[in-house]
Amino acid sequence: MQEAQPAYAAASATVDRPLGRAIVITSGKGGVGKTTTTANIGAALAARGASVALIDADVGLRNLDIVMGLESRVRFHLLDVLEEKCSLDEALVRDKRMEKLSLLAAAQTREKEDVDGEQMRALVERLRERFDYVLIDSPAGIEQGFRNAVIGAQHAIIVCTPEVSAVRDADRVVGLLPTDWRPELIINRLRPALVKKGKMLSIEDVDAILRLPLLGVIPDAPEIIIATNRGEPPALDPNSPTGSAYRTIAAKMAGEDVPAPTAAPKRSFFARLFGGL
Amino acid sequence: MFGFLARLFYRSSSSETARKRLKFVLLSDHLALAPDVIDAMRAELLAVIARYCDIDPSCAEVGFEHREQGIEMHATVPIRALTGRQRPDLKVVRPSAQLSQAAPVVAAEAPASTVASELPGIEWGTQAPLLDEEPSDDGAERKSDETATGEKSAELEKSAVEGNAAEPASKTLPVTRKKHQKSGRTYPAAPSSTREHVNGERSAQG
Repeated sequence: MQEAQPAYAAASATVDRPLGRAIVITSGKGGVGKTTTTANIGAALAARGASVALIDADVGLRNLDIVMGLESRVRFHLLDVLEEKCSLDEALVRDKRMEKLSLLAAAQTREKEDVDGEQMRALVERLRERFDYVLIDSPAGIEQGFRNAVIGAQHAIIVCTPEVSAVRDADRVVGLLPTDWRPELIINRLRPALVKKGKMLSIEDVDAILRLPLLGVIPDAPEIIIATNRGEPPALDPNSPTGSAYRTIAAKMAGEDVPAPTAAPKRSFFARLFGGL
Repeated sequence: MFGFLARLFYRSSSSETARKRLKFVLLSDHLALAPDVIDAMRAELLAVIARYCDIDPSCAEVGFEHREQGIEMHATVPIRALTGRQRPDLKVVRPSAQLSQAAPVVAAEAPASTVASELPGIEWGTQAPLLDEEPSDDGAERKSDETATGEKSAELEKSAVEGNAAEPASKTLPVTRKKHQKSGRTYPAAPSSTREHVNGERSAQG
């Protein structure tokens, strides 16, 4: 399947293919699912036929490799490339399931301050010449690591759980992004049964407060934990409801017309499965 | 000070509580004002209005909305009656049972359109005695209060029909959207022109 190119990525005279789209996945707050989201959107986009590079920008707390199940293949990392200790090709880990999906792991024993912003920007630019999508997994926080993750990107996806702390941090992070960006929102770990009982912020609540275009909603499900245990992104499991939500997001990113995300169809399914929650 | 918050959260679901807390904290973040400062601003705003009009602070709504061009503050303050005080530094007098007789004179001297910033001798928040900020959480009591207001409203409207210059009660006063009228007039010097204004408005309505 040929991937639709984003219209604004088409202007590139020096290479024979249009530059890919670099997207930072960020949240401000830690533990809301940035890494899981990056892994799954990357897998879903690659499964659609797009070439995808994932960059783990969380230097010192490398995790994207283990979530993807690629930890045993990592030989070189982001800082090795930036410091020219290896070539980009040597450091890119090809996914064992999909040829078009590659990972650039973070350095585990280094610090975020070791990354030079301009070198990072240049690296993302190089990856955009070769891949349709460059997804950058941002570290939590709003300091140097966050700035390094944002510097080469043209677009941001904000991951937010329906909790007051996550929403507040998401709002803060949006304020730190370039003002001409229009970040998109993914609401993660929604529990429709709790929303129905008035015990959790709804999609509409988060939407009304953050006022960002809604890219997708991921239901909270134990299968994410199991999939992470195994290093298999649920986006590749055709029977997984969370996988289906990630595939819908990938379709939307590729320019497909998908229905607006709601909790309604999932609610009945989850009511059956987790009615007691 | 937290009475406003307490009322917001009174008997609501936890997600509703979360939503309201978030809205408030984000507003505070965006305005770079501490939540209790926003509460104080609201209390002072209502206190200034209460110096000229009889209002029930527990029925007043002061809110903020995000617009394209920034944050907009809006206030909806139901006015029970005008207090008829001639000097802003006098103590607020609650309307008595004889309200319907007193109201016409009152309306002429203190029109609802008076904007606090036009008035000389007032320093925002310094002279204004802060209202009793703690609203009653007793729903029944508040309801009966509203019912009483409704009765007053009926009385006032009746007197208005009979040709008096009473303002209808419960008229809402959108504070921030009101244009400042640069009349150059000093308060309370010109009751006659004010009366004309009120009468003119009334005849235009009739």
